[in-house]
Amino acid sequence: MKNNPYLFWGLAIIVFFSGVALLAPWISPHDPTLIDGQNLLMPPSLKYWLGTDGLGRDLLSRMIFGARISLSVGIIAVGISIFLGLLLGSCAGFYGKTVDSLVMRFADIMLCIPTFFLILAVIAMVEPSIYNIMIVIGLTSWMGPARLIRGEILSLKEREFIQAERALGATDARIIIRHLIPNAAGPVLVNATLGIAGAILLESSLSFLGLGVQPPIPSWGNILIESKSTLGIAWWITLFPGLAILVTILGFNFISEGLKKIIG
Amino acid sequence: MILEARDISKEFKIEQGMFKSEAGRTLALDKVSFVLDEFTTLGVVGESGSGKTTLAKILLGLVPASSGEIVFNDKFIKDFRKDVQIIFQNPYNSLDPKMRIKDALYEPLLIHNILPRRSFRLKATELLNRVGLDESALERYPVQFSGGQRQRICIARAIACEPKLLVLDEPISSLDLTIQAKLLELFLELKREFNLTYIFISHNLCVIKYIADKVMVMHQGRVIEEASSSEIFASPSQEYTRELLEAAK
Repeated sequence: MKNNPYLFWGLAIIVFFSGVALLAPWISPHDPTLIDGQNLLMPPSLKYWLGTDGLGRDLLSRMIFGARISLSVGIIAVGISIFLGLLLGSCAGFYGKTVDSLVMRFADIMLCIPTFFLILAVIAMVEPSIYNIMIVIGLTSWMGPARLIRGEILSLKEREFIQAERALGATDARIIIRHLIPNAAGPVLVNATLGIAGAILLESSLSFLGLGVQPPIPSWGNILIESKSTLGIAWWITLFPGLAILVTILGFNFISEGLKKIIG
Repeated sequence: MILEARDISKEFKIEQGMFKSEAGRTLALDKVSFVLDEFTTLGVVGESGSGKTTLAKILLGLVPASSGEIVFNDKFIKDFRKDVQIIFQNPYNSLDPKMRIKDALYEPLLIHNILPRRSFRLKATELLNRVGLDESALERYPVQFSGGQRQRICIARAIACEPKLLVLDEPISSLDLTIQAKLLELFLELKREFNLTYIFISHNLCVIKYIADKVMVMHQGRVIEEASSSEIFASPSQEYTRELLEAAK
């Protein structure tokens, strides 16, 4: 940990934000949906540390609750994409031939479509709830992990310990789950941390376009869009959520950089 | 007779370009036939590329043969995946780097339901002791062992299945001389103790002379000479075998 400052600072940032998200109801100074009509667009003060928004809601409390949404969208969406990537990528790599061609060509087709517009199209058809957004981001981002895992497994499956395992009578499922995936997990983990950062950014972009998490539930993205109309007079509503997104993504990127060093 | 190989051939296609058109074929094995008697050691010699390892992999069912068949005597080989095991040449590559030694040794026990789970640890310790390692190895990872020690672990894993036939594919050629001698001794001991039958593949004739009862000389995928060990080393009938013997002196 000492000679890996990337991992240290990355973890520090993410642990901090996760802690904030988990403890939201206890640490937020105000109710995030409480409207204080006397204090619209107040700059940061002792009562409202990060100021208030156009409806007089406390920005800090909204950001604390927003952390829950943004982080869980990131983690669950990437969870889905890694699960799909592991499943499809390992089958493609392990069985090769027709299975490989089918899965990887399908991945290529998916990669041809600009992800953001694909998500927009899907969200236009289904209700843009937080769960739908997690699922849609997950379903449209499995291709990277799948390719990564396939590549790893292609080189691993010729190694002698896998041959020895076959000679011992291990089933395909056992070889894939107990031997191939653990050995391929390193690069996938690095990819996953980057993926979380990407998913958080994607959720923010969607929310910014009004197709993400719907108000009054706060997410960092939809706090940002509400700030758009008052950008000229209330800088704090734009600055702080933007900073939160920036620092979180930086944190995940640091972790991924640190993990890369460990895996070598 | 524990197994009989009949006319085993293996062809590899050489594919080229985007649509994998066939550019040619190489014949790795050309109608290899032999009979293996129980409790004996068959030495397979030949230079690199003579098809020794391909033969081993076909015997283990790890790659399919292009033609020919292998008949196992079901008096000895009841469950093929349990009764036939292999030791590979490169011990650095033969153990899962992410798995503790105990888990590697539990694998065969789990897969074949050899024992109830609570006696796994005892059995694994017993196996390690048998190949000259002690209990402290159980909790460690493969990287913490030398080549010779890893090969011992591979041997322990193979005999955990209680096999009848063990294919040894150049099991000692990547190790240094003193360890080679110790492992050869171990192979001989294990053979007596567990009533094993060996197919011992090597390019080292001294080793083959020491361990094999019968010798099969391979050249370019073909068996060119097959005779008892004493016969081959005393009076080789083929020019190529003589050359091999000359080269080893």
